[in-house]
Amino acid sequence: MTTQDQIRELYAAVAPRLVSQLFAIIGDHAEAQDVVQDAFVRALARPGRFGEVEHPEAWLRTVALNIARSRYRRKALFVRLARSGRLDPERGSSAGLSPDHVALVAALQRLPRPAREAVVLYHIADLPVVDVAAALGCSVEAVKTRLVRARRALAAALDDTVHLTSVLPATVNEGGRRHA
Amino acid sequence: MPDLDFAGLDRAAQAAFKPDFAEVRRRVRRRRRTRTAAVSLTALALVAAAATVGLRTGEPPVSLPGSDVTPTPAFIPSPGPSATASPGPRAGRTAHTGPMLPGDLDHFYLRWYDCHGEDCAMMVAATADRGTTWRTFPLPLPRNARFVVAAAGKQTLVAHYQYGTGTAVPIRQGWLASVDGGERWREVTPGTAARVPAGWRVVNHWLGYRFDEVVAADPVTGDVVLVPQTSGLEMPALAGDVPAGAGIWASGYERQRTTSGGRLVGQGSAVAVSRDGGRTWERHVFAGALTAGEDVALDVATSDGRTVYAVGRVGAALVVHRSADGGRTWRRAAGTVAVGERSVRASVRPDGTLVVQAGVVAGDRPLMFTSRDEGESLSPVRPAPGAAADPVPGAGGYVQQTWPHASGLWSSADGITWSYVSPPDLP
Repeated sequence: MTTQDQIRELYAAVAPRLVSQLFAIIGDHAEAQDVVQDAFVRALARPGRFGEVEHPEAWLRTVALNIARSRYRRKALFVRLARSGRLDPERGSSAGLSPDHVALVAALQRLPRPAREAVVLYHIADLPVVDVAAALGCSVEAVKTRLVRARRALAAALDDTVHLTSVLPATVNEGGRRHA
Repeated sequence: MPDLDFAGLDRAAQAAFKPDFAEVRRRVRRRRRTRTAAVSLTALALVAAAATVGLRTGEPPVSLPGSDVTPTPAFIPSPGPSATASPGPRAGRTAHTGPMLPGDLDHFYLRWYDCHGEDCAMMVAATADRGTTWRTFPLPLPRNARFVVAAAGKQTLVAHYQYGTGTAVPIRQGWLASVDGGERWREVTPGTAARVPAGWRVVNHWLGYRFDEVVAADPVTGDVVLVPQTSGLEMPALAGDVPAGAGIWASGYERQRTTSGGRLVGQGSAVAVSRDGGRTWERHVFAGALTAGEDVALDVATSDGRTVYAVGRVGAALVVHRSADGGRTWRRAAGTVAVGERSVRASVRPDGTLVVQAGVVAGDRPLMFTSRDEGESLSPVRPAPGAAADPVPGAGGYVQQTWPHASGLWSSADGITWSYVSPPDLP
């Protein structure tokens, strides 16, 4: 099997997961698909090097996050133009999700980007805290802080009566194991 | 009532994805064609540029390395050539640089990654002669680690690193220190302390927003301590342009809220100061929606810790608050000017002149003002370095970062006259 074949198989297995994670971060399903496609383009453009990557899914996730961040910076300029009245930004696509899921994605978009990425990698990608810290290039303590702050912010955004402790961990240890 | 159903969201979003690997292949082909065309165009452009260099007069072009997205400030000149820090063949290599750091006004350091494709080695470039010549050293870290560096003294550096994936390679993070300008490094186990030890330097400003704690390093040994007590502000930012001995200053917000537009924003722009090395903090909350832009509540400026300015804008109007007693009481100064939605920075020169810059990059069309009457009036001046002047501890001078828009550094002995330290010539 060639490396290209391996990337095709990896695409089938991994791309849906990455799209889901990027959707939660970006809030636009079409944009998330596009970002993940671009990550695979970079892998396929240099199959030899990609074949040497030890943890392909983590590599692809990192590349996709970087692409999304780069696009976010450009989008910030776009939004500034839109606010000036010179442009009319299109509404983001939500992939035909249920109202609750749309509300959750919308609430995620209200978090600062670092907190949003931490929540998505921890709760949707199901990474332990140490891996979230590695993916985001920050300390384990910073990830824990972001998760706690996100818990408060999501509570405010969705419903103050939601008992988030049933969903988010009360404490997270160094290894990222979750405690009730 | 909406539910935080992350698992359900994950399933639904995955189900909505329509795989299209053929499209990936098409994009790869397009990318190769585009790159081939770009190489040809670049060659043509280089020929054209070479032909016009000899004819150009007046100001040099505004062009800096490291600026891939945002245009550079209009007042930064094109850097001159500097000594090569990276020996060896360049083919296939690329350099990714971080901010340049000052050890003093002669010693500067640059964190960089020496990459072959996605495979990168961790490097520090060092100059002891203001950028005339550079040496470069590898850090004793596995390839593709991530690291940040701060200078704690003339030749004392501390680096925080992280590597591993957590599965095949266990995650590891820690600290390194060098006391010879980056040539040799040792592992450092950080301690915790109730306050920053006397004589140690707070280095958060150079490490970026990675730590909620105050991080301090010993300028002699490179030992590191973390002070866990924070200012308690939301979305905090530790001020870098505050001299040692003037306290630890932070700006931020009293609380956060979600706007009807769906964005998390700070409320109650505030300044906090610790005069005991981070053990205790006092805060003051300002009236009005004060902001310095980019989710920063305000910029703190002081040269002595006694006369302190909190500068930002309310709407499009620049606002200066002044304290004459080290932040215990505040009064709004009369000086104001329209700055639009520009980000705001401020510093105080050694002679007490307040310097304010509105707009960071050329695309913002930066404005600059000075005030010699403690903010009561603001006079427009030509944009120049000086509004984000970081004192260099022990050196009696100042630097101003250009990163992430460029990799060089402005340097000044007096806070008035500035010279540009070009980054080394990297692959």
